[in-house]
Amino acid sequence: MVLSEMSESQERITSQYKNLSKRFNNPGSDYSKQYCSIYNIRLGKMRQILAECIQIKWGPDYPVCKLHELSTSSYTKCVIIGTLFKDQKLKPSVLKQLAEGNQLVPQPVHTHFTDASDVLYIEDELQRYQLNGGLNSSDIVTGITCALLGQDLGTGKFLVEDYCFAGYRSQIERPLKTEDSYIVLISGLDLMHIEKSLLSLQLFSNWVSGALGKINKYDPASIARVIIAGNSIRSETIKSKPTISMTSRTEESSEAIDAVKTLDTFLVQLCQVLDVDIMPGEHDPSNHILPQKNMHHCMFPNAAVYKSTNLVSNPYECDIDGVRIIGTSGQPVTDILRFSDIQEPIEVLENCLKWNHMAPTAPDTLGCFPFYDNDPFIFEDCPHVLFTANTDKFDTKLAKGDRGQVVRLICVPEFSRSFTACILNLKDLKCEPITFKTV
Amino acid sequence: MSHKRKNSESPGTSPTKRNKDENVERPKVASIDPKVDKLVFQQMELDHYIGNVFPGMPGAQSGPVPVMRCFGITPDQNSVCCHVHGFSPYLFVSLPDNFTTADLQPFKNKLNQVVLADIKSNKENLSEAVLMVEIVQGKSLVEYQGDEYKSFAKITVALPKLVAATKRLLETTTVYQPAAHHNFVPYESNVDIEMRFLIDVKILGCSWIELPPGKWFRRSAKTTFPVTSRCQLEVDVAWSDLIAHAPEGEWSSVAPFRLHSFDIECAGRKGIFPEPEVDPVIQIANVVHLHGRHDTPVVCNIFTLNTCAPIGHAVVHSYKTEAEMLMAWSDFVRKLDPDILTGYNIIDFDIPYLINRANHLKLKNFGFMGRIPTIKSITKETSTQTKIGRRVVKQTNFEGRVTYDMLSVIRRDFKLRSYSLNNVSNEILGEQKEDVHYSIITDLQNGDEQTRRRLAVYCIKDADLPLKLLNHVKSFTNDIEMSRVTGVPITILLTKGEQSKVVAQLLRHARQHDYFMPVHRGAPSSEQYEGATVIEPIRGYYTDPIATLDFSSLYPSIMIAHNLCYTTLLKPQMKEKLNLTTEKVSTTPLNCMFVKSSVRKGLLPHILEHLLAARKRTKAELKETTDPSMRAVLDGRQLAYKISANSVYGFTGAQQGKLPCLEISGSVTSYGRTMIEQTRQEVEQRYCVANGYKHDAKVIYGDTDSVMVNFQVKTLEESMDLGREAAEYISAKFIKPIKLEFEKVYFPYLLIQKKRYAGLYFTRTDTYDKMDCKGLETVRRDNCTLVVDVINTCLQKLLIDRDPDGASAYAKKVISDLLQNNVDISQLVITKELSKEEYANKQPHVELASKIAKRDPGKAPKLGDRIPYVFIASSKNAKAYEKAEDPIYVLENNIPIDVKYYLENQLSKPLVRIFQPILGDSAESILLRGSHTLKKTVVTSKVGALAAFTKKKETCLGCKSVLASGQENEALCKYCKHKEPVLYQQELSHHRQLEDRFSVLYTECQRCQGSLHEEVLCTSRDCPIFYIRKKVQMELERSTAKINRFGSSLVEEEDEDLF
Repeated sequence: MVLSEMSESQERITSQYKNLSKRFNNPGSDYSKQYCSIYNIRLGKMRQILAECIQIKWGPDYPVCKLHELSTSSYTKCVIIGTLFKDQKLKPSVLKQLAEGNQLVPQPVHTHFTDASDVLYIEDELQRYQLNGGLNSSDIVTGITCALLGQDLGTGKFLVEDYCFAGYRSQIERPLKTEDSYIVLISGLDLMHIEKSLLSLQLFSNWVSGALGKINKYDPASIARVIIAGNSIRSETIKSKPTISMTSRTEESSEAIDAVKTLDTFLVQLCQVLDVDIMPGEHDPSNHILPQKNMHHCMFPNAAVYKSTNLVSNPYECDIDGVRIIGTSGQPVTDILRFSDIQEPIEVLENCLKWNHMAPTAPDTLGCFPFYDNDPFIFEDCPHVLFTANTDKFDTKLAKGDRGQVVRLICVPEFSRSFTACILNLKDLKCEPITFKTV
Repeated sequence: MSHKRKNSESPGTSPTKRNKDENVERPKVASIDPKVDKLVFQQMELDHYIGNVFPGMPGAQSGPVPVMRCFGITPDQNSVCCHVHGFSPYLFVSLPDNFTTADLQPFKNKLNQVVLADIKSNKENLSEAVLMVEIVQGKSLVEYQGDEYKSFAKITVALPKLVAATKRLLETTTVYQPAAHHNFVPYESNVDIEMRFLIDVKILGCSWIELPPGKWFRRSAKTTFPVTSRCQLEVDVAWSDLIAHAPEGEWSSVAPFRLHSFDIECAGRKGIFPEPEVDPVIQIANVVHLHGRHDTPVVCNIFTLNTCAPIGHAVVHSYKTEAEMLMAWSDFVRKLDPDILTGYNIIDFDIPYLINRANHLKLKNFGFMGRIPTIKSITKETSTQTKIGRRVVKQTNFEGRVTYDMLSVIRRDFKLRSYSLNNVSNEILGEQKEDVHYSIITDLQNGDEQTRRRLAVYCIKDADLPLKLLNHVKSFTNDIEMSRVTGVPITILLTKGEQSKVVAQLLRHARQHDYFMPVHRGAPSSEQYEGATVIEPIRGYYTDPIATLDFSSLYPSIMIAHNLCYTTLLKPQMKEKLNLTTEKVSTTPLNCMFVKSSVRKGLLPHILEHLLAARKRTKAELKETTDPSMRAVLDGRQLAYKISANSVYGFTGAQQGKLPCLEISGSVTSYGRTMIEQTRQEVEQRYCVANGYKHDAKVIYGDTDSVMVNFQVKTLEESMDLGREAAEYISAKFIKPIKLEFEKVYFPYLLIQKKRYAGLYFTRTDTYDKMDCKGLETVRRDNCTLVVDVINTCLQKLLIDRDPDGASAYAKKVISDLLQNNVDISQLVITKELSKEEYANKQPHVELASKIAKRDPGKAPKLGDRIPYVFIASSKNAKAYEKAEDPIYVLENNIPIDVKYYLENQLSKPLVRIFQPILGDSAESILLRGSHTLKKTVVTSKVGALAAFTKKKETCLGCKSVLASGQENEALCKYCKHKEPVLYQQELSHHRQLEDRFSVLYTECQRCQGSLHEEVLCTSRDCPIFYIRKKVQMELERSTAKINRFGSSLVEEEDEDLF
């Protein structure tokens, strides 16, 4: 590692920034709504998108049928559109938990919920059909919208011959850039356990602020922004004591409150020198279900005075010099991994683009706000960069769509374990890990 | 668009599609020739009618005659109606000693005259009422009177109704002068002709019947006796030619009976229970299975009034008018020709409703749904007076079909807190069921074809669930076996009690041994006999293994061992008269005498031996059988044998019964008592230090048929070895077949009092089988779930974790949580049914019902509704019934719960009970008055007397002080401002948890209702989620408001763009 002082005269690179996360930041507060609305909206929007895909994939020969029309139509083969539902016997159930409270058989604790007995269904506004053949349930999760070609088998079953997802949306053109301009992504600081990574974190902060000069050819002066993608306070929830009531109050631990203060101090260090986007993560002090609003500035009395302190939502979407970046602190990807047999987080990201949905398992197994007028997790257009955070290790891939779309996929590892941040070059979308290990 | 739709909109036409062609009818009958082929069918239903003489048949050759009618199906699913001719009813009477064969003819003539004269209007133009009088030799079933046979007259009469008349006339008038001084004692005159027929022809319930070639005649439209039923095969046979196969070997199988389950929906008015004179039937769902082939339904469809969008797994039949729909459904039932009609509460609701509705609409042909086209189904109401109150029983006839209501079955076989389909499916199948409130049903019907479809899907589920239940609890299979074991038709098993089963067996066996069963009469004696006493329990929390010794089939084996029976009962004067020596007689602890089996083997012991031996055989057979459907049959049968054997004792003790005999039942229990006592002595005498054992054994408790022994050893192994040894040793001291068995060890064991205990149940040394609790509040009945949860958790901590300190700490925590209002309302809800009964005292749920009706007449609960309520805090002198309130109302208005009531009236007794053996008599003060009970939370109500006068002022979220004017919208006062981040995070932490619950609860409901895209409408108050869902929603609103007081977290960005 070559260290050299950053000269006083060297100007930090500037960039055009636009926060595009409004839809995540203000979901509303109406909890009298139910989850059926978000599914209906998702299906409605996706149906329009799929109509085109169907034409391209299967041509005009097959009629598109609503599910309830199947039983009365006489087509031997047709196309249906709907939301997939995977019935999983291992899926955690609050009813079973309550029954467990009543001392029925205790359930084994699972961290992965797939089983050979999982059954796939497709559902539209009115009807549900069980699916046979064609579609491999182990790669699928609940909430994906798709079109299926096949035939009605009667008694509520549909034989799938072929399937079609919405695929990548069209992508705005990425402006040509000649000079390096970096975005640094970091996640999982876990400041409640800062002792694990204190020195590494200090190294990171020093490098970003220029005190260490270049590391692995990366000049800190070219860093345009830092994105802190969640779980800054902690990376695990402390198991609260079981209570008799489901609505009894839980107290926040004093360690967590101290960690928030540490974050405030840490942010001051960074924000003095450059723009920082701070996303809340699953275990951070924001609301819990998706989308998570930006953390409240009252918790960061010191850092909040800097304009460069940019408290943002999770998911988070922005435009930096014409490069569209979108990502989450990791919950949707983790959830998909738990309910499917997909092995790598990077594959999940690629699949999300194919499914054209950022968080299909919300609300089924991933908590989300009961939206009733939009589904903010649908990709409106294809991003240039899609990231997830708080993964075990760094991973990246260049995903390519059918119509020339190119997307940089990034898994931002948990810093407190990997001591690794990611650096993304807006010029060529190259992304590499940088590890801050102290020997 | 144009090519997409095909006749889906036109009502009245069934959808046409390749995979949806409904095949409703039974398979066609293959060619069969009565002259060369035999006809084999399994009978299910049996009745009789009065008809004409069929030429060439035995029995009376003129006048109206009773004809037995058997319904059943062939192995190929063809339905059969079999007329059996020549069987006439009869009764027995005692005869005077001087009655000879010469008296027969004159006696018969006289009797005939008297009986004929007694018939009020001889419509049938009967010329011969008494067909035959014979002298038969036999004995009375009751009391031993020596072995000599006596003469009885068997009087055969022309019609069943004449049996009772003959009996009455013989008893009350002088029919035959030469026997004027004889008291004609009637025997078996109370046996109806169906039972009589089954016994004489040796047909057991649900058995296979064979008609040999050349002996039967098939009816058609052209034969002299034309077709009278809807069955595919209608035949005639003489009763003497019919072969009944005992259900063994190849005849064990069960034919694929058609089980038709249905459910109706009515469009009721708000607050009024649907009335057939007003409220229309809007949907009827049908699901049909073949017995033994439950994987795929034969038919699954729905009849709807008005259009209904198609449903994937069911065929939709839509109709423009209700009349059209009802008639089409009635047609459908006739075409389907089901053997069994099932559903949930169909006997009391669905069937009478349909019939009354059709009557109201003047649909004349609707009611002809039985197998005899000339007989209309009519609902009859009979009311019976029981100890609890008047009960109205409804019955509807469907000749040839069996009504098998799953509600009756579940009521009979399960003891549940509630018998709503929701609760039953939850407790038995482990499935929550979506519950659409009846007030929503009308809204759904008045919507469009999609909302009606939603309703239809729900309706179909309700038709499907009874079949799922039937299959799951194997009730139908088991009832068929019970019917075969006891020889009682399946319909009677459902409508009549245990008694009829014992009577049927007694009659069958009496016939083989020349006994005649007397007609019991007389007022029930008020004589009480002592029940099974117990060895007084020695209360305690035993951490040593406690071995349990059980007498297997105690009461049946006592009856066998001591030859206790009607036929062996010996009265003192008879003992003297017959000069019986003492060694031939056994005297029971109750001082009753019975002759020993060396003198005469009793009939009851004989029946019991037969049942027990048959059970043993069946169990052995079960072990070797691998076919699952056959296993189900055999398992059902061994169970039927067991139940039957145990019900014999009860029959002899039933004072309202057909043949009570307290000498028998009292002796049985007194033997039981002495045996328990004797066992205690034997155990304690043998297993003591004096006899070389390490410790003195102590019997700590003895119940009806078991004894708990503390051998004072420390390991399971030792305890089990000693238990086994003791069982064998003591068994040898008793008369066979009485047998003491070692079954299980409780380790640890919590003995509270008589019939109340709990223990960890071990049958092997490596792991426990279960936690066994008797008489404790571990199951929800009239209490709230909080009690059940707490008791279960405490027991688990005591028995499984062996942590008495943890258990009492937990109990204290719950009490403290309760006092601080930290318990979910769903755990405090108590539910009671609003029934017709008049209560002596005011009842909370009744009071609440009228309160709700006053508040909103549309929501007024109706009779039969289950009313959930909680107790709310109220003025000091308020009575409990005044404190009941609707949980939803409580949630919405934040009304404080009367936690003290819950503590004192619900929790305290059960808790103190289980802790007494551990904490001793101070248990109550430790649990209920410790320091944990000091902190209480006060909730202020939005309604109530004081609420009107108080104006809520915003307070600081930190220090709770009232915010200064101008600062009401702030979250904190100026003194707390510096703690803002901390206080904010505290609020957030609570909010996060609520959000999580919200999403988990609502998605669970989506999964339960089986749809993501449709709104959750369910209002099942039996579901633990229901109230929590509401509570979380309300709390979320509150916490969102609180968090918003900290100001928006958004940083204004637009400003920047402006400059």
